[in-house]
Amino acid sequence: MRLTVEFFGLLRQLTGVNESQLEFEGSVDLHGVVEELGRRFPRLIDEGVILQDRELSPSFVFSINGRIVAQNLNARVADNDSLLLISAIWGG
Amino acid sequence: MYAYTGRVLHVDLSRQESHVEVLESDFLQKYLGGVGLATRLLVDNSEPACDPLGEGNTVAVAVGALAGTMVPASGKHALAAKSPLTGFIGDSLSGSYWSHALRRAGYDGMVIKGRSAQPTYLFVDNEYVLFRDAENLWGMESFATEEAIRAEIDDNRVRVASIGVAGEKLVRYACISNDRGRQAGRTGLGAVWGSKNLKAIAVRGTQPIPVADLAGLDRLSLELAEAAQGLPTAKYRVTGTVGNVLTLNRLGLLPTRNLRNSVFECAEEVSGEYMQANYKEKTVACSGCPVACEQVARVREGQYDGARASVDYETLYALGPCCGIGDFKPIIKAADLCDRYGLDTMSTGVTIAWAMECFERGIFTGSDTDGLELNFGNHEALIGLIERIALRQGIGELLSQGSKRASEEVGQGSEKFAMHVKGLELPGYEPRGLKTYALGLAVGTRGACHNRSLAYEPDMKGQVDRLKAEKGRGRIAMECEDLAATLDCLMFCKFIRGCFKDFHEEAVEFYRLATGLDLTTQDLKQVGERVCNLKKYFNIREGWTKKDDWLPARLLEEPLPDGGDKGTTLTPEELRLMIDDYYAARGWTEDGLIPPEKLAELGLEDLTQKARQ
Repeated sequence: MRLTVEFFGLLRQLTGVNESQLEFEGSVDLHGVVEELGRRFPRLIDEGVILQDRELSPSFVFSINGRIVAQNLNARVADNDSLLLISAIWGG
Repeated sequence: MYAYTGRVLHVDLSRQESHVEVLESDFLQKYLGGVGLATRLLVDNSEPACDPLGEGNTVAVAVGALAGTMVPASGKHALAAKSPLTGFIGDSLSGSYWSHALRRAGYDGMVIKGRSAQPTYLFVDNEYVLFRDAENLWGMESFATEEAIRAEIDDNRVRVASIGVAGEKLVRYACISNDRGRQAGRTGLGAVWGSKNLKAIAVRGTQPIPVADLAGLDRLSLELAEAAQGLPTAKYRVTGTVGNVLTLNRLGLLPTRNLRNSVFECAEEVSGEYMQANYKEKTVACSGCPVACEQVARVREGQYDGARASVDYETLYALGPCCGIGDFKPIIKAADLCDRYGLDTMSTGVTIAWAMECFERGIFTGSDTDGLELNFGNHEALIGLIERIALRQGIGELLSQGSKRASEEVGQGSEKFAMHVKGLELPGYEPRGLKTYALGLAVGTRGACHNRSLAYEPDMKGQVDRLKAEKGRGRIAMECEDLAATLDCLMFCKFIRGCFKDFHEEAVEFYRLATGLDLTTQDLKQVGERVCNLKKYFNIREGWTKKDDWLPARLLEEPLPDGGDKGTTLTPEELRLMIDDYYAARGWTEDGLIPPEKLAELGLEDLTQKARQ
């Protein structure tokens, strides 16, 4: 299964890329995506974006195909899904 | 009672007199400070149904409850008056050194009435209040005014809030600027100062602010300062709020070309990331703020060489994508001009976007626009219009009234794409794709404001389905508004709201350690609700009816134009359902009026008597 994760702002700085193509064998949930991102981009762990137990900092959320997913990382992702990892804090 | 001074300075510009009113602690606990105190002072000291630009309008000012103390990111002040843009409450916030100075001069707030016969500036020199001639300052831009007043007084500790030429000329969305680049931007309070011949308020505050528990407040402040340098604020520190551009664009939520589009093809070129790489000069922090969100950008080449301004997301959206401008350089130039003339960048950009659409539809021709080709994307037209608006020259006279009045005057269907609520132009989030936020905009007491509503947050955090309109959104929007109002009374900057583990628990502790006054978390929540009702009361007093809580026709008649959710609609029926749900959650009548028992529940029973009078 293949999917794309896009980054903006701070996360572009931490990962050094605008997007990352991920491949998985079989189905996966967002915990699995977080784990893979942590493996590819250790700075996401170092800076506290990715927490222990494959959790995500509450300062960030995923969007799957434009639908923003709350802090429930049990959400499943499907082949060719487009994911955005974005800040949960807005405006001001 | 600590931190508070318990004193409000009343100034009568007509009589050139001032006096001090003493406030009791129970009164201060009801309104805390900031926008709550300013609104209450306005309600108590203003003439109903006054002309916003007439002598009868009142300007109330209040510093936040924690201003002048060491509490991080709490040095802000609120101004409130009847808005010349909306005719309803105009409450606007600013911050930094001026806020601290007013409290250190011995005041929790000010009430300014009347009209000076000639241009004047106030010099609040601790306990002394001087009315000074401002003839030599009239016509001067805001930044220069600050410097001129400091030079005249010969003291660099003096902090100055002032208006630019736009305020003098009574442009209905003129702002008030302080500390070289902080603005009380929205709702046209700069024009209210201009109508009073009030060029500036200079403050020299040198008195200490005692707090109830210095060691305790120091400890808690340090914890908050450390939290405010962590991940929840990293976005603001790294790119500033302009870091929103690419995300919103990717989600199809970036209002573009007067909201004809929701995806901008030039988003990368006007993104925060692009600004960082090409135009950023430095980062600036408000007084006492550990975040430092303000990104100063400078142009170093071409026809706008030398332009320099702080560019935040709302400024960028309004002067950039909303006008179809895909080049950062003219956006910086436009922001620079707005700051110098003293114009709200948001209302300026959105009003110009309306004019551009009028031009492209043939409603305006070259003879209407002084020969300017107002096509979307024409940056020379953008720059040319800003000067005309500030000076009210040519088509600038029409546009200086804001998009609501201008579209009503022009007609020809242009009202349908005048993007405002109650006269206040829209912020930079596409409401058709954020439906809780759409409700928040429609019912906002000062008009279309994301900051007073905060209802975009449940949409953007995925706490609700952002594309769905349903019962229950009323309560969510209400709770968001109440939280925003509470923040605006304590006057914590909203950028650190993500740094608290439990905001209400920690906020009452900050308040207790600073003031020595006890509040429960329930008390604190009720302050937010009380202040929202107080603002609504003011609007009702000034003629608000249910029809004022609505959205521009474009948002209800045209589907979302671009992006992954292209075709999504927000129907009038959906909006009506959510508004009715909101009124019910607030305990208001079906017509959106506040029943006497609700006022009594909130400790505002005196307003029922006022209304009868």
